[in-house]
Amino acid sequence: MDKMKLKLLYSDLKSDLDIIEKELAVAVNSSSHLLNEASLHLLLAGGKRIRPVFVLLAAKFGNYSIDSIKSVAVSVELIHMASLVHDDVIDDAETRRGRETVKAQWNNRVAMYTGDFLFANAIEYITDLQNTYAHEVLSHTMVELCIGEIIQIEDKHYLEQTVRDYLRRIKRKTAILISASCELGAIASQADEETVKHLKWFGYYVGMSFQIIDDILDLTSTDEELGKPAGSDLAQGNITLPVLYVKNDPDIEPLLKEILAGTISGENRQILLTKIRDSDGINRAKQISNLYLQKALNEVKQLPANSAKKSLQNIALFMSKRKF
Amino acid sequence: MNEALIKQHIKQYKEAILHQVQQSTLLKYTGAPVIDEERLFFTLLPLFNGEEWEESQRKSAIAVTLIFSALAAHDLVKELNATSKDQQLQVLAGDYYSGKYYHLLAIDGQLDLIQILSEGVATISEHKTRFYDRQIYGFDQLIQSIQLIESQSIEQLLEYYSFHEYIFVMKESLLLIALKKELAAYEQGEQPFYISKSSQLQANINILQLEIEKIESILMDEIKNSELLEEQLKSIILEKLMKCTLEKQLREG
Repeated sequence: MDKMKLKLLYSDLKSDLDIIEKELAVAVNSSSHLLNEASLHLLLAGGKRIRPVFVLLAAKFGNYSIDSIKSVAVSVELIHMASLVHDDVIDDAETRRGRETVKAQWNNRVAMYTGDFLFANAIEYITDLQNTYAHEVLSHTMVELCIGEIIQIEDKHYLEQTVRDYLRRIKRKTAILISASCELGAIASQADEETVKHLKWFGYYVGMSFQIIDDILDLTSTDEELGKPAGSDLAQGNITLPVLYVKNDPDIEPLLKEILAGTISGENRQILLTKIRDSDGINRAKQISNLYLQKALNEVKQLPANSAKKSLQNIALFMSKRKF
Repeated sequence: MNEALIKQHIKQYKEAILHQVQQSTLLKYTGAPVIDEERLFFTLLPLFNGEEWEESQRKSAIAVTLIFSALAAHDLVKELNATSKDQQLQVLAGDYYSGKYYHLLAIDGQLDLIQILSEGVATISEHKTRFYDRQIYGFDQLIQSIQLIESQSIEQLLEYYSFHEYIFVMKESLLLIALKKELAAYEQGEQPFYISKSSQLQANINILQLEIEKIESILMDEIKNSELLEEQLKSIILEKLMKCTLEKQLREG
């Protein structure tokens, strides 16, 4: 995703995001020399910080005060960072965002402890927010995130899975944390109940749309754009929406079985990707992503008039229309 | 409380914990969560000594046990090549149990305890990395780390509910049990969790043996002379502490 373009969409949040960035550096600071190195390594790798952005924008619909919401923004980003560190162990990933992963630079065990340290700090940070319901939301989100990942492992290589299975999985894997970011931002700023609800659903729909696009891009982008080989998800056994739509196509099915079995040649892999790109699977998946985008925009429409409204709209459009 | 009743309580707690984290895929591939019965026993020490023990304390004790299950799941992830399905799910099992402890306390409105325990988990993670750090830690520092890793969350729980007077026995007992297990495993040529990763401990096995004897002696005196602990409970604790020594003696014939 073009980070620069995205940042322009919320440039008025820059000073508050700088505060969050500084706070993140404080949050990952550790008395352990090794953990400090590992956490800093992660922090320097950057990231879009899209979840804190959603927290801040959602908070604009209540009594916005950076001091009272920064702990929420830091917390959701730490959760995201921690889950990436653990995901890299699961995926046996050597690099992320062009940098060596924690597990590659040290080992899996250090990655586990780094993730645990970040998760624990995330929870500790958000206890600044003395609202039981907010903690129910976040803890439920953390559990659901895990279940999403567990299901993803279960569904790997399983061609009989349905579109519904896929949607349920990405809800937990991606949409729920973005939804919680919006909801918690609104709760922390004491927005009214109706507004909290619209923001929660906005986050959910944007998250769904975003993940579908992410899955499409894994198949349609170049290796350079992705920073990893195109079709990596599929090669790892993750069957995504565009593939589900074309899995029974007689031209595609045999190659699909080869890639899932790990026996595909480089040449056949390219042929498979070309066939999927040329199929209607991509367009059908785009249509579903678009449906979620429309639902997200519809939630924004129902929010009170506010400068953040336009930003939410623009970010949703950007995330769902991005090219890589 | 007598031994039979204690055993019954431990069994009930284990069932309640397993009920909290029932997840069919995890159960199939990673098995039930690790629940260390010795640790659970020392978590429930005030209950076994007849202290008033309410529902919130019951839930908090379950949450603390889940923290240890979460950490134990991650200790089972191999340092290299954790690519099998079982290992991948081991990573997620730890995260899942963590989420569950947080959720359990959140729905109970125990925000202060959540804050204290999460701070403790961060500290435990810091101390675990000491065994992987290039930086050299001294013998005493490593023993201190082992003690913290083994008992920090229980100490926080006991502090939180103002059961301060149980902390010494709990902390020293868990350290003693851990060190005895480590030493026994090391002597049998196994790969004990702490010693295998620390050249400092390996080079000081004799000092470790002396340290164990020192802790054992102080602890025995403390328990025998305790005005706080019921006599029946004293015997049960002493039996637990001697168990490792007896097992060692039996092995050595």
